[in-house]
Formats: sequence, structure tokens, C-alpha cells
Amino acid sequence: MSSEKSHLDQSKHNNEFLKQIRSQKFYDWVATTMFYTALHQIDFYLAKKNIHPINHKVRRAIVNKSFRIEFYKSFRNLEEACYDARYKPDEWKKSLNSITLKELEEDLKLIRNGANASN
Amino acid sequence: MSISIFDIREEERFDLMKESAYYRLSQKIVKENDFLKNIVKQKIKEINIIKSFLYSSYKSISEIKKVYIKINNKSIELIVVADKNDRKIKDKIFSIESKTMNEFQNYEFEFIIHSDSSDIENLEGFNKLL
Repeated sequence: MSSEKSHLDQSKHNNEFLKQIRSQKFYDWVATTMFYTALHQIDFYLAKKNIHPINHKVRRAIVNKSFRIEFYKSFRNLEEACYDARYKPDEWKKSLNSITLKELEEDLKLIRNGANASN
Repeated sequence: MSISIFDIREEERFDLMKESAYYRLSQKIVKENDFLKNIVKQKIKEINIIKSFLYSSYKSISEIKKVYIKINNKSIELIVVADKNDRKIKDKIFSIESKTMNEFQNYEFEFIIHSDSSDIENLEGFNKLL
């Protein structure tokens, strides 16, 4: 299993990558990277408590149990966007008009702040 | 006995397999074994409670068009068809997910939201819940 530091480093690494690719052209990869930035931020928080989710289902249940509902909603919104961006190009294209980068950024911000505040 | 006897698809599968030796044997085992019979009964009861909880939860959101469900022994997959472009609707769906996980903590859940049901009509193992 990965250490706290590894998760934090990966989250920071993903965030650096986000800054480089943040453009409408690569919106799908922005959403995907945002989700994995959030995921490692959460895993960093959980690793400190010696909790290491083995898959997405388990992580989802832990997030639901460990954080407030708004945190869960933001996590799920990023997860759904990431899923659509990778596997459902048609749905993804349709949603581009309304799922704004700003909305996903707000979700990521809430998770980063939430996971840090829960230290 | 295969654990898949608890799968809600079994009823349909058994219909297809009614004449098979496997079906006759599994029915015989369940019939003659009170312990297994009770487990099956309990599981069916539990599944019905889950289905009814989910049905009323999703029914309460008028914007939800359809819900598909697949229940296995320890996992539940749900596909909800709704407008993914509306954050308010999504938030309502996420709230149901949260409540469902709190209510049935012994299960693992997979939740997916689709905007369009045309590509999921024939997904294997899924039954229409709503």
C-alpha cells in the first residue's frame, strides 16, 4: 500500500499537470485529472488514519461515512464527469455546454479544503 | 450450492433451466434443507426491502426517468437515467446514494448516472426498478 506522502505527492503532481492542460480543448483530461487529484487527496487523508481503500466502491463508501454530505456530492460529481469523459464521449460532448470547468473546480476545491480541514 | 441462487435474476434463469438436471438438483437441495431454505427466504426478504427502499427513494424525484438495478449477494449496481446537465438533479441523486449506503452497509454499491437509456436497455443482469 502507498504511504501518506505518496498520495500527497501524487495529488500535487496531478494538480501541477492540471495547470498545464487547463484549456477547453482538453476538457475531458482536465476532468479526469481533477478526479484523480481529489482521489489522492482523500487517500492521503485516509492513509494517515491507516485506511487504504482497495477500490472505487470501497472508497465511495468510506467517503460517504467519513465526510459530510456536500463533500460526498462533490466527490461523486467529479467521479461521474471523469467516467463520462473516458467512456461515454457522446454524453460527455452533450454535457460540455452545462458542466462548467468552474463547477468541477469548486468540487475539487471543496475536497482539498475538506480533507485538509479534517486533519 | 452456487451463491448465485440469491441473485434476483435466478427466477428468470431457473425458468430457462427448469428442465435441466442442475435446476432439479438445486431445487431438491433447497427443498430438503431447512437451513438453506431459511437463508434463501431471508435473502429474498432482504432484497425486497432494498428494492422497496430504492423504489420509493428514486420515485420521490420526478426528474428521474428510469432506474435499473442488479443485485448480487453482496453488491448492488444502480443505473439512474436522468438529466446529467442539471446539478440540482444530480445532487438529489447523490443524496439518495448516500442514504442508501448508510441504510445497507453490508453491501458494496456501484452508482452510474446516464442521460440516455437507449444504450442500456439490454444490459445483462439488470432489471428495471422504476
